[in-house]
Amino acid sequence: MDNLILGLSTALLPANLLACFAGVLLGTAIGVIPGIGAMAAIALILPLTFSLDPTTGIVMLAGVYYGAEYGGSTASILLNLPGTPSNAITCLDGYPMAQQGRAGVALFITTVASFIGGSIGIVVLTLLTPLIVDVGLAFGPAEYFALILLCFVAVSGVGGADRRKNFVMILLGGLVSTVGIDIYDGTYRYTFGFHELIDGLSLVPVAMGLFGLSEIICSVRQSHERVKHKVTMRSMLPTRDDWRRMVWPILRGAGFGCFFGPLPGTGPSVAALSSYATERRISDRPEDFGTGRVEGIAGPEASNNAAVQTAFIPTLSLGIPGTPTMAIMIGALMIHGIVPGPMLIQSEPELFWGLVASFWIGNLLLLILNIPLIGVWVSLLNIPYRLLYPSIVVLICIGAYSISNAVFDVALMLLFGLLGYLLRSRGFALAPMLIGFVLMPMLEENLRRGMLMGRGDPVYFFSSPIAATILAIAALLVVAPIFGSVLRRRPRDEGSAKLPFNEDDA
Amino acid sequence: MARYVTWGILCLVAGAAFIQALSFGFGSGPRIGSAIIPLALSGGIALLSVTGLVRAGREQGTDTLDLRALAAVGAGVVVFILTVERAGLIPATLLCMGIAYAGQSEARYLDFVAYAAVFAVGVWAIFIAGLGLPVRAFGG
Repeated sequence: MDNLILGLSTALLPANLLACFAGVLLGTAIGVIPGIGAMAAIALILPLTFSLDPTTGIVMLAGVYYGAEYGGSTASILLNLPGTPSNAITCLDGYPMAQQGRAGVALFITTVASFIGGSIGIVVLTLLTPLIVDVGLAFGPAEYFALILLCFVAVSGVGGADRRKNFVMILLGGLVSTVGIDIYDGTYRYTFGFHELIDGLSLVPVAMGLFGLSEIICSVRQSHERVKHKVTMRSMLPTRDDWRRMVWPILRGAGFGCFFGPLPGTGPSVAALSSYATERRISDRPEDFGTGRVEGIAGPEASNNAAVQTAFIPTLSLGIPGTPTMAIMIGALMIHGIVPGPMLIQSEPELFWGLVASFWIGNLLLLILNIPLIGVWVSLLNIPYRLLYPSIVVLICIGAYSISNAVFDVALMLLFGLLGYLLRSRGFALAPMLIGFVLMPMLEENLRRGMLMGRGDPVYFFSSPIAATILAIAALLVVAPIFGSVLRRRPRDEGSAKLPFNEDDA
Repeated sequence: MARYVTWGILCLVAGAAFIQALSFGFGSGPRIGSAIIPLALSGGIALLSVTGLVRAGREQGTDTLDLRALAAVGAGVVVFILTVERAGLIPATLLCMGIAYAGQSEARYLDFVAYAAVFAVGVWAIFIAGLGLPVRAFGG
């Protein structure tokens, strides 16, 4: 209780309140625009926080994150274009509702579902994080090494791309992270005589290039229709039947979000998908899904917002990001001089509990803002993309420039933007590359510390039961898909028998 | 063809990184050197890229790049790099936007020019007047 009071007293400071407000407002505005996800939103806003106090800066960035997730549903419903990947599932029933003249109701339901899902996620975060911190305090290099490996293995399964490509991207991100001076023996690795590279590559130009610029290049030719549906305050009120049908999907969705949020490699998109699949499966009329069912938007929206909050659990308690967006948040914390991990809650209690309290305030602000401001978001959607994207390019350039007030970072951002576009066009997912970039230095550090503590014996990494268990799970995750694909292939080889699995489940 | 080129480039880059990493220190058992991780990573990429090259024919994905968008946005950023410290933030903003705008096919420039002018003023207000970005609005 004392912690929550400490958190509230920090979050309610005028500067933090203003940062939270600005964060959720900017996040919603960016999330509304189709194609620019939460990651690009955070990367864009990150340089604006450099001049702020660390707590204020992180409160603002967190607001951008969940604001973007909130805002993402607006374009899904009104234009059938998801603002963020996790809102894609909202298109399925949200857009048909808009076509039936119920866009206002759909937007209201997503706002309420997001608020309730987010609030439940915050409760879980508040209760669970201190418990995991206690476990994390007992972690040594072996446990961290194993945990990071598990994260890599889990992340290699994201994005729908094949695992080999994802592994290559993790390794590539890791290789890029080795640029700079090695703090252990002073070796200059891959600096090629550039003194700007001695301190290594900053996260901002890498993230802005990979997720900001490459996304812009991909979407330059996109054109979307104007919003045809008029949304008034009166049109947003749900019927009694709508209320009745949204309650349980929201609670179940929040449960999915709380479960998938902290797991590495899953995050809001998997949570939303699982929620939708479950609602459809347990419905007495599954065939109606995709035609404008309230349950089809309430569950997924609650789940992705719950997942956004609970994704902070491993990030804040262990310093291990489960999703690429959390990897950017870790980078942001480090840029502000804060080391995430089990010590954070003890060394920076104002920041930790202030951040948690700001989540409550931010969610409340979103609930208050989103309903009356819906007209603003709709008019934002009506700005032609041909006008928007050149201005986003400029904002990305200024963001990269402001890291160290040098054009070198803008050039780096361009390099990673072009690389990201080329890789993306060949079906490589970029998220694993960012995870590799953020986590590989931690892996290397723990490997070195572990080898030192084990006196050069690699068995040290298996000596702790926790580390051994985590490594066994990681090995299982590697082996299971290979084993599964062999099993699936065998019936085909033996006379093209029907697959033993429902292909929808694959 | 593009799928082979991508894997090929990855393989070459990883190979070059591997060779470069051989010049870093290897260390000893308990004190592993700075070469180990780069060698493992570049070696892993090279191996996976070779298998990718072998299986590239079965891959899915677009073989076409939007070269117009790529060139326009890329050139816009290059112009920003060249002008922001020499000509100032507002000219760099206008030039970058104008060049990047050529990436799409609509030729309605009138509303774009008005929008870009307002946006440039907004950029000045937020980043120079508001956040104190140490760069001039006009001139180097």
